[in-house]
Amino acid sequence: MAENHNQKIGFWARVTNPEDRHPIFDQVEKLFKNKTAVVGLIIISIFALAAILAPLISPHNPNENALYDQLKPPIWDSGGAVKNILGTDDLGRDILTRLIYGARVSLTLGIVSVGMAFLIGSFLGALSGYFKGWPDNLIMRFMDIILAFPHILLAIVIVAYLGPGLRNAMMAIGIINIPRFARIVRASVMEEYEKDYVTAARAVGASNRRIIFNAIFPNCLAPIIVQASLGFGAAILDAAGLSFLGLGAQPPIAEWGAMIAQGRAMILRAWWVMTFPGIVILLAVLGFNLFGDGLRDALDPRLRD
Amino acid sequence: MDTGRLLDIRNLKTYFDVRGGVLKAVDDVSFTMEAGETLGLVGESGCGKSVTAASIMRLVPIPPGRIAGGQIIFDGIDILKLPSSEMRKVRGRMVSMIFQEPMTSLNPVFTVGDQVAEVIQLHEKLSQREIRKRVIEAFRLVRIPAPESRINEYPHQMSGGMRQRVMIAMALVCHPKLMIADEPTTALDVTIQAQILELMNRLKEETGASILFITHDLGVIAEMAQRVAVMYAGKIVEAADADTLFSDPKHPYTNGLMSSIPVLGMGKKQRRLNTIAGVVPSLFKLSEGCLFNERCTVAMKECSHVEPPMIELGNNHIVRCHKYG
Amino acid sequence: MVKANQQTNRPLLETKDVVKHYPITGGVFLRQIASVKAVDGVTLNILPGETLGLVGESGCGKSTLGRLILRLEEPTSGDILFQGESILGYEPKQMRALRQEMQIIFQDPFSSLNPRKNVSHIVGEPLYVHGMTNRHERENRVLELLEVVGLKREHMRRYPHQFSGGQRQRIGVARALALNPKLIICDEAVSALDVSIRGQVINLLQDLQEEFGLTYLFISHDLSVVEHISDRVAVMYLGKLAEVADSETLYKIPLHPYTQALLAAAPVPDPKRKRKRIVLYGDVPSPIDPPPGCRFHTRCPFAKEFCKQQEPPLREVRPDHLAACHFVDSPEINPS
Repeated sequence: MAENHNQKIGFWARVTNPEDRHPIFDQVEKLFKNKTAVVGLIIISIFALAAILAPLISPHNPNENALYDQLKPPIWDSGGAVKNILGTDDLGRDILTRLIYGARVSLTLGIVSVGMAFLIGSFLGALSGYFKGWPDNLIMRFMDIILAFPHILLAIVIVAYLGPGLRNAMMAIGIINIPRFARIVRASVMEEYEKDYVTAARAVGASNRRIIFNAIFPNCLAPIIVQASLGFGAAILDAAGLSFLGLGAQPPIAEWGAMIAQGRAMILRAWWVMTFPGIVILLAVLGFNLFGDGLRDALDPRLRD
Repeated sequence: MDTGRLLDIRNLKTYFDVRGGVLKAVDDVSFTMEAGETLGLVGESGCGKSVTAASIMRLVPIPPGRIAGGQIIFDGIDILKLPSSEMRKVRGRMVSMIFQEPMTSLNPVFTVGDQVAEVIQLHEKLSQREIRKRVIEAFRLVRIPAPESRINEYPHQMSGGMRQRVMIAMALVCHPKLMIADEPTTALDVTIQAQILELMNRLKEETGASILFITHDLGVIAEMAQRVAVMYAGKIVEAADADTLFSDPKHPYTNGLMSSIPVLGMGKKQRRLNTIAGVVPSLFKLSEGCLFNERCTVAMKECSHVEPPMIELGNNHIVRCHKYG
Repeated sequence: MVKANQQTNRPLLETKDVVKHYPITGGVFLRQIASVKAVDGVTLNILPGETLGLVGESGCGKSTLGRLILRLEEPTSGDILFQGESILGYEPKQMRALRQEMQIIFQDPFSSLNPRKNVSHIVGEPLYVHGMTNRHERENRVLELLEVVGLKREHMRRYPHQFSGGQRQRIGVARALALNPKLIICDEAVSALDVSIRGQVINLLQDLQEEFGLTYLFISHDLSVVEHISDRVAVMYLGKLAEVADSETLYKIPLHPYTQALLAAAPVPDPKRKRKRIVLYGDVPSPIDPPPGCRFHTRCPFAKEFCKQQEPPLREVRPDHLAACHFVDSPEINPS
């Protein structure tokens, strides 16, 4: 393939075999070759499956109190039984079951809050990056205000105002994540704007809306998707934090952070009530982080900080 | 092995192992250079000229690249056999390189003076004061005005032409015997290009260095080179003295190239440009015969399955084509 | 020589003293402290059916002028007229209609096509934007256009990264033709292509001009290509015109010292032709702070005291030959 003289970009990488497909397929292929991404994806899949199949695979009902089975230790400890593999909490509820159902809560929360931040943040960022001038200033200053607050503090304030509960926690976490997406999209849009295909669209008379969303936006997806994955993990952590403080999921909802909060008082008597939810949070967040990192490497090594 | 020549490249093969197979970027290239001459290496993108230059400097990334064969004998020593510590002494000192994009070839966070000084520091043991003197001298040599103050400037503060002069200074400061210039003026304006070309010619005379001048611009080659080699798809297809090549090109590709460019001063007499049909073939070398076969207007039967040998036409003129066999 | 097929002598496009200054802000309060005088008073006209070449080195403003004509940027002052009517006052709706008449082909075959869209979408975009919403109809027209530029049906579903530079430029040409424009601005359209491919695209552009009666503004820094393809040529330096003449005359008898230097500096593929080398010394001055008087005086080998004080107007020095130089008739510059 004849190439361009005046650019030494990708000098050694000028070797591709053309295949008749959308560029996304090449990127997906690259993704599956990345070990980090695959490991992360496996972990995420396990959690996703657990969440979807919760009623089928759980040994018990998550909210079933069993007062004769309080604080039973995990199976490998003395006093443990097959009935409750990971033990029970102070109300006799099976920990394993509650962890599985907790996956539902956390994943839903991740999707809703990150999804919300993604949509709103991308929209604002796109407007900012495309129109520049005063809209850019206005939107970005707004983002700065959100960013000025310590992350979790703002979430606490919002939930405290709206009232505790899972739904409000989701909104709060969504809001605090908006600036991250807005900034990324803004930078991406500004970079793409300089390219000739955008000028071509303007020269043809396409409306601004069409140019931003139809032409530019698909080219900005790579960094946003990475951010979405990493943000998912952070959202789970934030939610756990809020629930721990009593502001997120309210009892009796099985949520990992709330379980940790409950287990705090019993940490010496019954370490398993607090520890297992903690481990599960760690694994979930790890999964999303690994996937996000792998994504970043696969899609664009330049994004590495 | 002592051939007495400055540079003797024999059957150089530089291949890349990539997803689709083996990319034969440089496939059996041989040429020689004497002291004090300028050899022009001409070809379009993908022909392997830049990879040849990188191979001489041993800057080819390994992997995915590898030197699959051949010898590069510089001043009597096969530099392909040198250990990397020895090669580092060769680079910058015996052989130096000038790149196309001075903005990206210069480090933006160091002053230009520091960057030229670094070259000296790597090869010679001199005091700071002596280094500074050498740097200023180098700047003067490349005609940068007010060198004492300019050595403290950063690349972004200089124009493209100035930056290229800095690159040339870096290339010359340790008095190399060979300078490899890879498209050094392609990114420059025409009037600046003229200045740089004139500078390079003068420096060649003053220092006695040889220049391997790589470009796709036939006009520049005509001005700079005494001898010219034309590359296509990883091979040299023709080589001759500059005068001979331009007045009497033999290879169909060279011919096609010469007749497809509009020449200044010809006016609109040539209504349509003669073009070379088709595109450059894949460097995975899927065909067995001559790689120019599909685009050749005078192709013969054997061209599609027999690779043409290099034929000597006398008068220092060689051509790789069945037509002259 | 202007083409014989022009129907009327009225210019298709005119610029009247067009100026574009880009402000540079600085200081704590971000006030304007200086400006980049990219285009500083250019009066030019383009006749229907002709190819006007616009040459100059980097920073001379030729690309900016192209964008101003398409109103991709707004001029700071001056006027632009299309078929005699000023287009600066146009409302968005009129502008949209105008866009069908003027299009552009870009230099970089890599960034001028949206990497996430296939050829059918890219070439069909102008049609869709201007009302051809029926997909079938659009695809037929796209196919027509592709065939005109030498591409095939099977290329329609492919993506830009699968094509060579030359092919991408053809896609760009097809896109520019989609709306049947009268004027096409070729902004360094062949500069990024391999030498052997350049000829193909140049021939294509000329063929299309004949077939569709197109008018070109051919912007380039490559003098030999411009000479080959243009009827008339305008030379720009630091935002202003230095010389305008028809192609043959400009290359045979350049009047302005800058044009002379440009032509002398251009390397020619003939080792025997050693032309008189006027090697211009020094760098191009910054457009932020152009020299007073004649902008070229800092590098001009013939500069006199007067040149530093007064800016030379662009005037008709010979019939149909304009130059902006005070001493253009002096024998040392133009002996004849």
